[in-house]
Amino acid sequence: MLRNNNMAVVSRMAWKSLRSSRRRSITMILAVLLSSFLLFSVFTVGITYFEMQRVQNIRLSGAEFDAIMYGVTGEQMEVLKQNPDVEEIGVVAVSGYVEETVYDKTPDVGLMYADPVYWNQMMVPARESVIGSYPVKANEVMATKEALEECGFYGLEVGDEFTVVYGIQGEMREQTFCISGFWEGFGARKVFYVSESFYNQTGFQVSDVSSGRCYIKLGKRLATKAYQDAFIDSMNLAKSQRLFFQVDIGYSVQIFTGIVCLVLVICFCAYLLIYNIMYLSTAGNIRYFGLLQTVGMTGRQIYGWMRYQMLFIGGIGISGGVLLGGGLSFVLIPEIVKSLGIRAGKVGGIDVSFHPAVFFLTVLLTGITVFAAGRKPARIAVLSSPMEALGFRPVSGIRKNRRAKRGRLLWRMAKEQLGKDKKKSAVVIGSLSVSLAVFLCVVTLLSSQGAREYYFHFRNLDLVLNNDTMKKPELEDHAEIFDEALFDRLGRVEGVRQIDPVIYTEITVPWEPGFADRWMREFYETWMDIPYEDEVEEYKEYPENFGSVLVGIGDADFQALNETLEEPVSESEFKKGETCLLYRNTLAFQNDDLVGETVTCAAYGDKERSRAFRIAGLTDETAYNALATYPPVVIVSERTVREFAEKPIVFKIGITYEEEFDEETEKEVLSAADGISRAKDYSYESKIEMMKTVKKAQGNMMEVGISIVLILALIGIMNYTNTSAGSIQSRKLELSVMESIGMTGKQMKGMLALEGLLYAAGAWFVTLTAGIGVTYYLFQSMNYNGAEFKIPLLPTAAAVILTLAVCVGIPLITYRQIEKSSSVIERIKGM
Amino acid sequence: MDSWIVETKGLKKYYQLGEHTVKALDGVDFRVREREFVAIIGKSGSGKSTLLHMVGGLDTPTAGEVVVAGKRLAGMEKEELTIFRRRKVGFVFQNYNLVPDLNIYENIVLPMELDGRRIDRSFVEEILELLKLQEKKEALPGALSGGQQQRAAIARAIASKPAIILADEPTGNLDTSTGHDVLGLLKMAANQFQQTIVLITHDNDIAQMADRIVRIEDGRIVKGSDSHA
Repeated sequence: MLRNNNMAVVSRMAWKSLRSSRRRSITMILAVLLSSFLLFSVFTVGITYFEMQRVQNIRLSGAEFDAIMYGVTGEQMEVLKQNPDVEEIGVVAVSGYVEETVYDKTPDVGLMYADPVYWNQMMVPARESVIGSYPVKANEVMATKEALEECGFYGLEVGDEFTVVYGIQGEMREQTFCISGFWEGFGARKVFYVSESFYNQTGFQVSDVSSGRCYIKLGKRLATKAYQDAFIDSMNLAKSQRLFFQVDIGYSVQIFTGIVCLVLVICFCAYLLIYNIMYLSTAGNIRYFGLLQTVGMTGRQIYGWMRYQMLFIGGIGISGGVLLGGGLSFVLIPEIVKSLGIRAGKVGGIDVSFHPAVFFLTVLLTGITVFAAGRKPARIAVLSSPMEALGFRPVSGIRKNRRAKRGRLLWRMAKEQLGKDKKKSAVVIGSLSVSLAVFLCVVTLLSSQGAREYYFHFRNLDLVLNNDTMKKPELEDHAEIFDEALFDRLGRVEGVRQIDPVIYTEITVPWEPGFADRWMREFYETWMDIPYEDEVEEYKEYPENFGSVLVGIGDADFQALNETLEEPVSESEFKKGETCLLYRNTLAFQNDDLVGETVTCAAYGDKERSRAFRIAGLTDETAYNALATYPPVVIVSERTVREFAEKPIVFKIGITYEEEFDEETEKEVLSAADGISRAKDYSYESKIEMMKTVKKAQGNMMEVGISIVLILALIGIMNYTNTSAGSIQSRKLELSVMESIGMTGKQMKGMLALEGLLYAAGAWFVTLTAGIGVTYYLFQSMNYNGAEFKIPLLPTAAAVILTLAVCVGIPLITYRQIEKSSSVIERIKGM
Repeated sequence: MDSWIVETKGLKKYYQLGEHTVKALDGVDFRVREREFVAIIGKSGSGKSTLLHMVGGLDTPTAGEVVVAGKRLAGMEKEELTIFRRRKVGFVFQNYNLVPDLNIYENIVLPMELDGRRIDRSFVEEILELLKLQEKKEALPGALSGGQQQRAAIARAIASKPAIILADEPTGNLDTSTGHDVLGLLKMAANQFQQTIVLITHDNDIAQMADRIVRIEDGRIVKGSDSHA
């Protein structure tokens, strides 16, 4: 066949057709523009969200690292240095603690040494400011305002001196330190960073599990479970050593898979949006292509014609969309966030991330969809005869017969509409469900990341008051600081719902060849450098040198703790004092190893007064560890401790408010606590302060997340609007015929509203079944906080109402427009 | 005194087409008696369809008056007009205009269902029998021939026992023989169920089947506006 070079004619015709059908061309350009805009925005804002989340994790951890190892030997350090995946190794070493100052006998401040890699590189993203420099001399410290205030020092500057008594491995020393600098930022704040020369004097070794912290930063962002296991294996850890991966790299593969799924689903939503809008003009195009065929245009030329048009529409639409998306992402969102007055300034300031891949992905995906959608009418026209194409009308299936249906007419007709073109209904319900599922998923993920979802206590208590005398090494310094008057005052605070004191008494666990011997042997093997055999005789003879604690918990604490156990234990046996729980202390014991055995507890200093408890279970929950001890911490009911000891000490008080995050109540509670005679000897942990810290660490992460949700909601609404409006338009004749034979406007609107209602119900049915399943999978794969899977009620209710409004409203609005455009007979005659 | 089921006075319908005013109807006085079969003939664009649409309440006049079954259509609200249409008027269109998703039986009873009326099944069966649609009542319109679809449209028009049946070129899409058959059935059914028919056609042979022929030209009735007047 001779090559017929007439593409110039084709391109001219395509161009003329675009110009003559200006309205249709503009609609299609707008559709492409909108889709590429939404796609570009959601990806850009999404990347920004994840970037901010990474920053949040760095801030909450106090430094940028992927794994932490407790205790690191010279050989292990060499292995790390040889590993090509390891980018940075920072070392921090515990160098003692502040025992007391002239102003405070129980300050909660540690002494740490940070090596240059940790201080100069890893800590930088979590720091806001540094004044002065890292200590060099043995008497210099890098301080924070909080650490100094905890010690009772106020208003000190760089170069000022202060004196503390500090403890190192049981030894107390007094020293005057000079402040070499101050730092502000995130992470542990009640710490004095000391110099290397100070650290060298302490006698601590980085190989000590109790001192050395080795922070590892990897050069890769994805680490599978197998990789993590192999990494840990390569370190050849001693029994007492531990290596933990940070949650975000620990879950990196799951998070990555989740993000890929989310991106694919969003791409699918965008694909449907473009496709549906483009498909609206399919029938018209097919008839037009039929006409062109009758005058001799070949299939090849029709495809060429289509390509010219799509190139023009896609080119303008995609360019406009990307420009608009850029404007929204880089100008509008930061401006909106700023105008809301949310944490302006360096920390928390919004910094939208751009990745070139987003640009290419948007162009590629939109381009492919535009061509796929544009090709369809051309394909139908080319595959059918010119006359068939000329008279093309969308068909609604190939059924010939059907039985008359019973039931109320409007419901019947509405249901009939959904069943008529199952493929189309499935696409409408499917695209709506996909949008809703993505919306649910993102909203659920976002709410699980909310500052209010971070707990400092496993019971999610509002406030915990701690007895700081417990931190004193000498037993005689441990004192009851929470008196009856405090409990009376707390009981009178209106916003307080529940007060749960945790009490303890000191005990010994006398040696016996069964349980006690096994426990201590395992403890020494795991945690001690000296062999058990060296000390077992001393333990047998002087068990008071190996003191422990009997902790008493109330009903609420027991019930909460019981829920965390591998196997729940009998409440009545526990309450009666027949059984106990043991804190596992990371020893290798399993439940089966110890459950059923008996632990004997003797009053400290009075071994004649003893009591035996059957071990009901082991717990890893640290909230009830009154002291760090060699023998086990034995947890029993509060009543049992009171029966056993004359004067047990309250070592913490858990407080639950009537309303979470009630600042007024917290103020009153803390004022009551400040009223105790030894107010300097208590500290507190507060959910409100935790929330504020997390919020600060998050910056504008939540606002950015909400922007994603809004963009996704817009995609979903646009998608349904287009499909639904197109569907009503294509039924114009049918609806007009019904009107002509007597269907009133009210009946017509009722039928269309019912159709919309059925679409909404169908979409929600799919969303609440398959959608929740997908959401749950995505949530769990990205849920490294271990947050509870909880679908937020308010946004979900808003989505249900919005879906109903859109599903019912759009067909009605479309019909109203059709009705207004011409009389019933004009519509029937197609005028 | 004659009882008129349809009466129009000075009926006008003007359209604005650019700078020109098209007078589709220009002062039409037209009357139809009860149980009469009237055929309106005229060339394409003469205004015959427009007249039919005015009488059926499908379109609104520029001026003049339409009274059908004693009801003046001019003052009616849209909703009222629709209800009037489904109770008093049965339409038969050239393109049949059956609802494609409903089977023949459902199409026939649709106006009654929309009106919330109890369906007189024996009457519907009688109509199906008469129009030879018994075998096709569960078929969807798309599965039927043009003649069958038009018979179904006639059945739908008759079933709700309207005051008048308006047929707009019902044979226009049918071959001559089928057209005659269909119209024969329409006339027979109208006789049997004592109904009035106004038929539009440009086929003189078809028009001969009517009791009276009205000719319309350029929006005016030129012959047979009322044979008994």
